Amino acid sequence: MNCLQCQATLVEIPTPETPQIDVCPKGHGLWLDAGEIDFFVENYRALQAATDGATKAAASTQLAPCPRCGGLLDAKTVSGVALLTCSSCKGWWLPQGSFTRLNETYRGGSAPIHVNESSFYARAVARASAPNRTQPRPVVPPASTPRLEGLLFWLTFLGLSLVLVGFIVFQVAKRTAATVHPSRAPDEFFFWLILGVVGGVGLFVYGFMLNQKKRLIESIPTSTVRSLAVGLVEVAGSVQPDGPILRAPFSGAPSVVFSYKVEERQGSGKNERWETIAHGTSDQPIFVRDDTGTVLVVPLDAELIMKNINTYQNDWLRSLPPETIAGLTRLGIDAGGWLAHKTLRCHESFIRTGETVYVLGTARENPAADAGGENAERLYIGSSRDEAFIISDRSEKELLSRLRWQVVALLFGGPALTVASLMAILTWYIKPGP
Amino acid sequence: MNSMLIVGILALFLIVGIAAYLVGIYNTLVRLANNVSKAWSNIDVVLKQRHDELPKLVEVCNSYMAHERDTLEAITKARAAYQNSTTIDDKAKAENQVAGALGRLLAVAENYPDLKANQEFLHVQERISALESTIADRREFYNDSVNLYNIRIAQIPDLLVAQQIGFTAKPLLEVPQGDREDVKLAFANRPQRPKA
Repeated sequence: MNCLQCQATLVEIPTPETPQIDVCPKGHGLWLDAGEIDFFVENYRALQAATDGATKAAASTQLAPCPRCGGLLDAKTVSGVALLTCSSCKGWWLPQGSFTRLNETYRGGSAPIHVNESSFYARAVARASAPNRTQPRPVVPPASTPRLEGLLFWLTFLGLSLVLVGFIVFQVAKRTAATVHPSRAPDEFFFWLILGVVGGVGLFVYGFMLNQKKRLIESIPTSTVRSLAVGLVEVAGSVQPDGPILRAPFSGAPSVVFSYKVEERQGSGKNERWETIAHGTSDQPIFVRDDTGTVLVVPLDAELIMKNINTYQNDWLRSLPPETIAGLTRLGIDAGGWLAHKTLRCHESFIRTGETVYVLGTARENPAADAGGENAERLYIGSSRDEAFIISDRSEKELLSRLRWQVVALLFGGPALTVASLMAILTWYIKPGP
Repeated sequence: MNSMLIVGILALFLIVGIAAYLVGIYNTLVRLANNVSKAWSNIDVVLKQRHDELPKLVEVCNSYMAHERDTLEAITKARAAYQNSTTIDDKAKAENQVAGALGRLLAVAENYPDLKANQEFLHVQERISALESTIADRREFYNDSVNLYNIRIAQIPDLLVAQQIGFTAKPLLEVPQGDREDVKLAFANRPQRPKA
């Protein structure tokens, strides 16, 4: 806002009575928003009555527009005090001295109000001359913009180191390959060792991916259901079904969410392996309730990490329980072969009604909800293409603990596997040349 | 030669691992910092919702509390002050005034049984009360976000990356005691209304 007389930018001066008033740093006057004058005048009712009754003075020159809203200003004289009022926003412009005269004229309240108009102008001058202090320090600084120079330096350094070491390793490998020859023909063990070399690298990479997931879980605070906002959220509470209670497929245990996998043993002897012939998860939505409310969760595409795990397997000594066979039948899987029963391994994991669950997912507007409903009613938690979606009956602390151990095992185990496999290859399959 | 090859491969793993770890730390710090900003903006969203309810409250109360005009005007003025605030500091101070004026209005409304029985008043009061609870939750969530961020940038090895990229600790959301005292002082100095 600008001064009506000199167009200098008005300086905001905080006062005990109002958040701030706007003062010309050159002492020409000050601006009060609608109603603010009442905080500086004891007998504000009399002032109000006098203002309402005051006629507009004919302006000798065209008045500047309202500095607040750009509306028309009316010149008035109230008890001999000249002032300008805005017909739109009802703000007041008080030339220097008018503020003090109004305060002194309209005394008579039970509690005295004293104003020191000159101190406002002095503070405005001080603030205007120190631009860094004209804006109050925000309670919260704006979103930090990271300085990347230092980090880029280290990444560049590591990148160059990688190139250099890679070049050295390549040269050593080339010379080694030139001076050695195979000591024996590759066999099955050799291919397992090659798999070990490659697999070790894969495990190392997977370890970093798990570390990212661990950091994501650590960096999201838990929300109450009542205060959920759109975006990636983390909630914890007891789980209820949105519909009839489900039954775990192979045990029949009452549940709200379940997943299953059926494997069949194929081949025999050294060629024996387990092949997955069916897998799936329940897709019925669930409700998660905490002390503040209930929110809908759609578990489609969720990563389910569950404690309740059952495994049923048949062999020549035992057969599958009747509930499991019934479950396989419901899934359309025939447990019997032509001559003998198939050897099947059935895994199921599930979450029971009322168990405490941890959900990390993306909260979105529920198109089926009432627009005017409470926050938790308007939103649902589901999957997102770019963010993780986890539903677990383990607590956040347990999940992080498991992830921590997995990350350590993969980050150290992966390179160890690669190096061990490589050493085995170099020891048993390669010998130095003559 | 074989040992050199093994050492070289281990060095490659180490370099790649360190670089990937640094990038991971950086990404996490950026996410934490943006979570803090988002948490703050989400408080603002609910504050605006509450402020949008205030005119309805004043309108309902006006017809019953004609003699409490000061109290009603205090809310209107405080709401205007919040809408005119530009910096977060001013917003926090203006919000304190809104909260104080609203509390006084609801306390005064206790003296008007007809008003308390009015359905519209009850609906608005319930809505504001629900929003107050949401605001409190979101303030706690904001402080949780700030706490996570501040802890992470102070821990090793994230501290080293945070120093390089210039991330510094953020203050928790606290209502300054001075602002509370200022609000009380303002209303204590106002001339007392003559009793009807």
